[in-house]
Amino acid sequence: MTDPDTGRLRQGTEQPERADAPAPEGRPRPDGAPGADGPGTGPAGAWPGGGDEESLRRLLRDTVGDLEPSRDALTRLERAVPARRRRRRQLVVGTAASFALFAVGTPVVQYAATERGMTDESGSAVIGGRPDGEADGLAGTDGGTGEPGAHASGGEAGRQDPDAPGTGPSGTPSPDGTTEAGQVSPEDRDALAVSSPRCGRDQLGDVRAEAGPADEQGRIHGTIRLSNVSGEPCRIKGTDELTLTPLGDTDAADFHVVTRAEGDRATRLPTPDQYHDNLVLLPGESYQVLFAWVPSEGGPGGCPVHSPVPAPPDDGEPGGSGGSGGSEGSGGQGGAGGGSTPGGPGDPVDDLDGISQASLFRTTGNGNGGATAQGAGNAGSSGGNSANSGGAGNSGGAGGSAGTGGTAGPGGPETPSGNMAMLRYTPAAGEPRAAQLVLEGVCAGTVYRTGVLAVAPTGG
Amino acid sequence: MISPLPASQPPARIRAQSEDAGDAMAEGTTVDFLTETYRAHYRGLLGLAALLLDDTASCEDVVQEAFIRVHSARNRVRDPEKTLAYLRQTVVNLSRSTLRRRILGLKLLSKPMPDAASAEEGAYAQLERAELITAMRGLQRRQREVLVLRYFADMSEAEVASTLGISAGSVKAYGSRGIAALRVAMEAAQ
Repeated sequence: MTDPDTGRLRQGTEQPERADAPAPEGRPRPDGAPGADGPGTGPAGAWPGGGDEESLRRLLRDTVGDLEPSRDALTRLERAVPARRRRRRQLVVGTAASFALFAVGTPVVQYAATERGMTDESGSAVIGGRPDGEADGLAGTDGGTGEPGAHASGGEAGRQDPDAPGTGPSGTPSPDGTTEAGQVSPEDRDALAVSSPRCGRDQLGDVRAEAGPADEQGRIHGTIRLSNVSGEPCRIKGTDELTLTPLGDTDAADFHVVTRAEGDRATRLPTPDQYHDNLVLLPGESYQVLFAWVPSEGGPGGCPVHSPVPAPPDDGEPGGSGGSGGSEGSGGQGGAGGGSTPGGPGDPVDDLDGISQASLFRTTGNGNGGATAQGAGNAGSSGGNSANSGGAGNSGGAGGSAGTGGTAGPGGPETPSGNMAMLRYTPAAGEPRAAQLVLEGVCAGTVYRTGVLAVAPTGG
Repeated sequence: MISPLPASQPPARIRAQSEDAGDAMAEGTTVDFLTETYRAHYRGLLGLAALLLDDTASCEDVVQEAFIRVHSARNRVRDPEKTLAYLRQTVVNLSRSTLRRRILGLKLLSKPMPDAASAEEGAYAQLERAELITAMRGLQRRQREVLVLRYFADMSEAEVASTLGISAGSVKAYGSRGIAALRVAMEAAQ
């Protein structure tokens, strides 16, 4: 075989073949029917033709010529690719912020990942610190041990997708986690839908509730997401509850919660055809309910336009428990700055009882600088909590710092208004309530909500 | 499970969400591309994996993973010309044992995968019995990789060299020694 051989072949028979080099792999070769080009030789036969390169070539192809993709191969890919892509993006977004944390956290995290393997549900919060995908050359996101897990979430602060802070089961093993879900075929899901029990309240956790700032029409969009934190698949079925309760001097009659329907004003929300009556959540998968606050006609937030109402300087009223209270008013320019990043405050996740809280600050003329400051406090506490969940303690610090800058403006003691309302969400599984958010500066309007929506199986 | 979610900046989150929406649209186009590459290359890559792997049962997983990786990296799918090269290289990388073990770990997680195995059991089982496969497994890793890339995937020596990260001279050497060793093994099996 040897070099003389090689030389001869390359000038001779090989060239034509090389012209369509991908072909042997590519299309089902016209001659690719197994054995078609080697009728005399079984795939497992000897090495015919005296062992030259051409016959080796044929033998190799014949040997594997019978292999066929599994029937659902393409389907699996179609689901897994977008899912992986989303995860990659989240990973990139989070990487910069959490770099410092990796340095400290990674040894612990890797240890956790290797030792625990992929089964430890609670440990999964910290599994997968490494964006090790790029390590092996081409191979994009390495399926490896996972994504930046919980320890990153502190540092990632709010900049990521809702999915991103890979906490809890969402950060779960699933290197292919995507595919973990993605590889369950629709048929399997259907089977699970029949066989899985309804999700118990204790199976739902990792709650995230969050909302954006009001747009120019005063609409506020938000998300409430819950994950199956148990180790078993379960079904989300039944009626959950989203309520809006006025606080302060707002009139309950002015608030409504309706399910989003085709043709209504909440045009950014998914339409009912995407809602699930019966959604199977594999371990670590999530569902979400989106909502949109749409103010009635009138002033911003549905409030009559008026000058800011003086409010007691010490107004702790918003009633979010824990640190989420302070909408301390701060008029003037200082306040405006604060107000422009509304919502910083609401750390979506409550540490202790799975209740998630957030405040939404409508920005009117006067911002409320106090908002962000409280975010800091809250993040700190959640960071502390993550320490308990294993090796992820340092997140607290970063989280805390994310909330700075919200120093109460030195303005007058005025708030936009005393008008606010509490949005509460209770899953179909029942009490306890999973999330509550305070909408501020709202007087009259409607919360449009979706039904249960599947969250693409990115592990979040 | 309580997640330590830090203070956040919802505007950023919301923006991220809408990116998702945009992504969904973009996916529309890449799904076509995915289908196309699937049709064109999947089977061939399955063969490549079968020749490189020690356990044919994980061929499909390796090829799936390679597809997912390559297609989820946007910059890798921008140039369709290179897609096959990327796919092959990823299969080669994944076929090396350390990485493969990881994939297998995943596979356990992602059970059930019922019909994949049963449908192809015949072909894979047959493969396990093929003399060539047995003989290939007796080769050095590099020899085997060179032979498979060179003669099954029909890559040039230069392409093999860059895929494996070795010199063209080494490709030649591994190739000729590999063929010799393979012939010996096959003859011994007669």
